Amino acid sequence: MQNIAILNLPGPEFLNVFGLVVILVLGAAYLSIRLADRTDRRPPPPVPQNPDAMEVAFLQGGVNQVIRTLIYDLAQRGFVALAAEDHVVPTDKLPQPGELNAMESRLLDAVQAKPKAHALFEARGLRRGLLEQLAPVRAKLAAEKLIKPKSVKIWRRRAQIGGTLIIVGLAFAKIYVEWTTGPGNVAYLIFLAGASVAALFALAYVLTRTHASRRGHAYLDAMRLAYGGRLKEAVGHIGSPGPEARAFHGAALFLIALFGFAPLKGTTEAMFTEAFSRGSGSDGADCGTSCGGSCGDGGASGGGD
Amino acid sequence: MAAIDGPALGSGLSYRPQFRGDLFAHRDEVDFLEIIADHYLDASIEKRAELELLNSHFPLVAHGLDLSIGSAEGLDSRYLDKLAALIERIDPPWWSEHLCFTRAGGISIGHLASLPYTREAIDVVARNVDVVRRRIKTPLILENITCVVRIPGGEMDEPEFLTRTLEATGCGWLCDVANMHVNATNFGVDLESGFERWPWDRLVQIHYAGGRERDGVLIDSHDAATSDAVWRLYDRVIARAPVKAVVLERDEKIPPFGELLDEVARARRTLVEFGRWR
Repeated sequence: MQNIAILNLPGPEFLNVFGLVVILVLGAAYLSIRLADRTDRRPPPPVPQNPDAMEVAFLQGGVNQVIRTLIYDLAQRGFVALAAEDHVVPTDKLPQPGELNAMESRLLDAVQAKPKAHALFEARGLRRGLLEQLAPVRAKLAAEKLIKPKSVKIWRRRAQIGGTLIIVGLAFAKIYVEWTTGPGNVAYLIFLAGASVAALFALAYVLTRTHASRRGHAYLDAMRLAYGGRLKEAVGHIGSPGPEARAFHGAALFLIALFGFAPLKGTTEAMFTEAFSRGSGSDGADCGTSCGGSCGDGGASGGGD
Repeated sequence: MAAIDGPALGSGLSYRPQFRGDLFAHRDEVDFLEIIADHYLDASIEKRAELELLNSHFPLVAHGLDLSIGSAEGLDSRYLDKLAALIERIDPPWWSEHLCFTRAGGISIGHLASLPYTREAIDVVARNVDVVRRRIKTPLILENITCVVRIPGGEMDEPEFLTRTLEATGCGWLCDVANMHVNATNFGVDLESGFERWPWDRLVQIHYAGGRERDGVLIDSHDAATSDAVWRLYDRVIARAPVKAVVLERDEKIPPFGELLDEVARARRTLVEFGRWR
């Protein structure tokens, strides 16, 4: 190993080379993960005239967004309420037979224990049950290439493992050479190697944190652009007297699925933004933290966000 | 013979961002959209995204406001370049402008001003249309405008001026039936007796809209529902001549979207009745 010229470079020169290698590794990781998702070669599907709230929620933010949307809907319909300290509690109103669908019933059951908002995201049984119910939705989105292809997950892992091996391997080789040729200061190299690996994992996370594919993102963007005006109109109705106060009821529920709770800030329903922001580390405006590392599976394993 | 070769587009709407959400929720009730070209000439990223969205969901035609096709001094080449880029981007079957001038002596007058009904004005328009054609291959159709005052020295009336201009330029006609009605009412012209003098063989598209009356004068303000009188004229025109597309214009006091859809549906019914649309 001592015969390898790069490893015999003096410290500062080696660090330059090491930095260059790290940049190349990060660049290669970026490209390999990005190119694993070529779904945007096709234009997104047309914006639907009557978007399905569950489809939109699942694509926008996986199971967590589905939970947010369902809770909001149940609250609008009077079955649950937000209580102090972010608890979600059932009300006295009981659903008539057939009034709630399977997912709504499941969530209403979960709320009987008066959990905190974040506890709903962490309830593995609830998540698993919702995912089972969402299987047709997931299959439809996958058929439309709106969910990240499995190849993204594969290439993310390859990039993480391969990149880590290169970075750590090069650092260890240099450390070994330094130790065999005499005492040397490698503390900064160890720090740099650690930071580089962390940067690699952070990059991989950022590129794969949402489970919508690039085509899926284009589809969501088109929907936001098409229906942004309706959101403003609906938010304007919140707090007004009469039935229109339930601004996101029925066909308008997809707006909550699409835009999250962030638009509710400053309205009489701001408690949703606050409770679920404290609960999930996200206000639900995007799914930045809602999919965890579960790209492609809709958040089956990503409960602890 | 049709003035241009292009597909029939049906019953459409002049697009306004205010009703975008409702429009997408009722997409199948609007056959196509007309966009105001000037709104997208120096477009922000958001406006470009909006244009892309509209273009991917609706057939589009573009309607210009400020080309000033009747300006004796010629056209603004920078404006024409931007217009050409927009037309190329959306690739409509045709596009339209007003038969008027909006610039004189290098000054924008901010208004669609009527041309004098003279042979010289026809020559100016023909010369300018030639310039446009060299830059934009997509067929141009010209719209009759409302006239606040008749320019003195006119050598002919409006139907003749329009007919001779369309002949000289080879352009199709965007017939604004509301403008026809406004001019006829304000200048006391009997549309019925002179109906056959309009260039029906050049008809491509129709605009219809509602307006208001102020001090006994009709104003084409696009801020009310289409009047019965304009609907009667519309029905008469559809019965008289083949038309490829009809567009409702509404700029101000935009009502609940359902009311606009009712007008679009009303316009479509007549198209279907006379075999102009499926």
